[in-house]
Amino acid sequence: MILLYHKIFPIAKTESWVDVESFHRQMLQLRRREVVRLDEYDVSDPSQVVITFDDVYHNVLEYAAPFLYELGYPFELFISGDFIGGNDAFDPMEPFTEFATEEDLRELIRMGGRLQWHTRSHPNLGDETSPTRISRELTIPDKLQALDLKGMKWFAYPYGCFNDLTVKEVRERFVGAVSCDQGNNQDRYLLKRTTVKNGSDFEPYAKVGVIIPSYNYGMFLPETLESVLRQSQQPTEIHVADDCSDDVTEEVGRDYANRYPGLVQFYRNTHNLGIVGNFNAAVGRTRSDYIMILDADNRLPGNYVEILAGALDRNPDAAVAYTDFALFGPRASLVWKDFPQAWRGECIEGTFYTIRFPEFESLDQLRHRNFIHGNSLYRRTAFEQAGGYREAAGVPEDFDLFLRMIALGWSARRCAGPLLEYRQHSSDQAQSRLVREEALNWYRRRITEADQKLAQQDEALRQLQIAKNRAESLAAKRRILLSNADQKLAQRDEAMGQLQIAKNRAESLAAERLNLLQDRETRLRQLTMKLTVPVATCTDTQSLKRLLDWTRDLADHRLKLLRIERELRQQQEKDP
Amino acid sequence: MCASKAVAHEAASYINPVESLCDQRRLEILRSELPQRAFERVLHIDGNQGRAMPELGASYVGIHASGVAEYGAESSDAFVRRSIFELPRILASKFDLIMIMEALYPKHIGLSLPLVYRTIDQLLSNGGILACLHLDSDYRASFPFLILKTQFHMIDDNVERLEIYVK
Repeated sequence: MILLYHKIFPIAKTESWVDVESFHRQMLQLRRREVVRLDEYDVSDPSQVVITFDDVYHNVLEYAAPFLYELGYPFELFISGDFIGGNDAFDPMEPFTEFATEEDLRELIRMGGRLQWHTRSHPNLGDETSPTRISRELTIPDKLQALDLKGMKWFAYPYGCFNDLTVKEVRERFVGAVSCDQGNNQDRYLLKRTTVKNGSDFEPYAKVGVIIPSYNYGMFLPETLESVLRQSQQPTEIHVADDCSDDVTEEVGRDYANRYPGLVQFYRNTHNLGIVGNFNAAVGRTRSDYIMILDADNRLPGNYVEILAGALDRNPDAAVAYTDFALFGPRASLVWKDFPQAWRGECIEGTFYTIRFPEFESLDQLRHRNFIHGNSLYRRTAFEQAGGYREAAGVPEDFDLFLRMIALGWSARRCAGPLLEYRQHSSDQAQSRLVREEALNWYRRRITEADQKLAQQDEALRQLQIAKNRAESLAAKRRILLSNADQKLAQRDEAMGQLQIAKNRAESLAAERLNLLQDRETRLRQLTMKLTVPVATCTDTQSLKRLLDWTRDLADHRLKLLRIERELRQQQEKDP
Repeated sequence: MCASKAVAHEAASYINPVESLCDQRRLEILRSELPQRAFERVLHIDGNQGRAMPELGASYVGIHASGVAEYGAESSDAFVRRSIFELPRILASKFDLIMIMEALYPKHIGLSLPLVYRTIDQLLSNGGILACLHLDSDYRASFPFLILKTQFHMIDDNVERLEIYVK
């Protein structure tokens, strides 16, 4: 696997940026693998990883190199010659970033980096057809070559793009080349790379499970849990194993399980199983590769898990990784004096009494006197091979377990330094269940949360009351509107009645008009017939008189007809 | 900013002279809880407006921790405003007391606690004291040193966590 990074920064500004915590997590996940240079990379070996950076920004030196240097990982730096000491202001799509300077590059080489070539000006070589331009882009200036005499043998295609001509030219000048997703794992000049993002994880990596057994140590639990939750390498699972306590263990454990779902799990035994039973049952509920039993009253510095898991990652023959510790609490100085003189370290600030354990050498050495404390990190495989914890007369259960692991042929690895804060109670204080600051803060937080919930409920009630008042107001308005609607309906019905009357009247008038029109037509026809008789033939007075009567009748009918038409018009205007 | 210039500014003007009652209370708490010893070199990193406490050590350096958004930005006051990660480069020697007050929130360091731990480890001498005072709800650091004290104080209606470590 060849990894491709661009920019590392405290915040990921775009997809091509990886934040520092994600980068740190990803680097820790590679500890069980072999991180190699491209020169040593064997595509067929899945345990090998190559770390590459394209373009090489100043932020690689500031935020990535410290981790790479600390872990001893080599890395490849693909530089574009024209960009050195400049910035990417030319790229409006990316937040402004400065490229590494020559001085930065020298420092990166000192920290394990190796310079490789990424063209002069970062063109898209998939589109390039001019041999002259390709040649110019692939030519490394002597000054840059001189920066790293061991480097500049590998090439990275800008944007991962290439064509036949480009690849041909690259084959003549470099020992190999890398692309991105366009590449493959068959051709040394077209190697594929995995573009890394914030959420990328590199399986398989070892998972760490922390078990905090508690029997009436509830008051110490918040402090212990907080110290586990704030580890620089966060465990995959944290189990609080309550061995049927009658103090606040259950309340505290369930609270943390609710606040960190998927990470913290709480389990309460239905009856007290005792130390061995509780430990074995708790380990059985975990799935992690590495397991740690952490006493509920001890505290871990922020790098405890990272250091111990790293020791097991790098030493596959080791069943257990152990540390020195610092005793604290009322009986610390007394307990410290019980240790051999050679193991006693310094007293720090009158508070911590440190113990420096010896390096593991042999089973006999361990049998002689235990120096692997019970809060060490051990390998699940070794635990299962040894058969787990067991009751052993006169021997602490953890010492007995580690002896059996070592007897099976496993080794142990010491991590120097007082990485564990080991509390030593006075008997009175142990029994009175000391109220610790962190426990007080846990209660304070619970009270604050309860206050916030109450305030939220009060607010919800207030909103409900407002809603209720509003609903009542709306109901009243609705009632008024309904009443108004009833009145309007009655008015509408009345208007409809009037309308019906008007309609009937209009129909009646229309029928009358039709009759009159028919009558008028008949009379007009009759008059026409009469008028066809020549007036000259109407010699007698009688005929003339009849003619005049018809004419008068006709005029009357016309007038009547006109009146009806006028009435109809008025009616229509009045009630359209 | 070169190291010599930074050192030359030790015990010089610091951050912002504005001091609220809460600031006073924080400083009183810090003074009362620090181990009683004479500190030679004191580094004070503050994410807020605060006040210098040059009386705490023979030499005193005050840094106003800049926000992530300001990293690399030009500033007219280059001495007082710095990212935590720059400090090992600009400060020549180690300190026997480092105080970090409200400078480890995401707005100052983003998501970079593992590098903060390493940076402070570079700056703190063996046996040195690290004091951190932050709002408990927004603070998630845990340094790789032994923890002498953890205390919680109500300041301005907020719970503030004071941690005192010894390296």
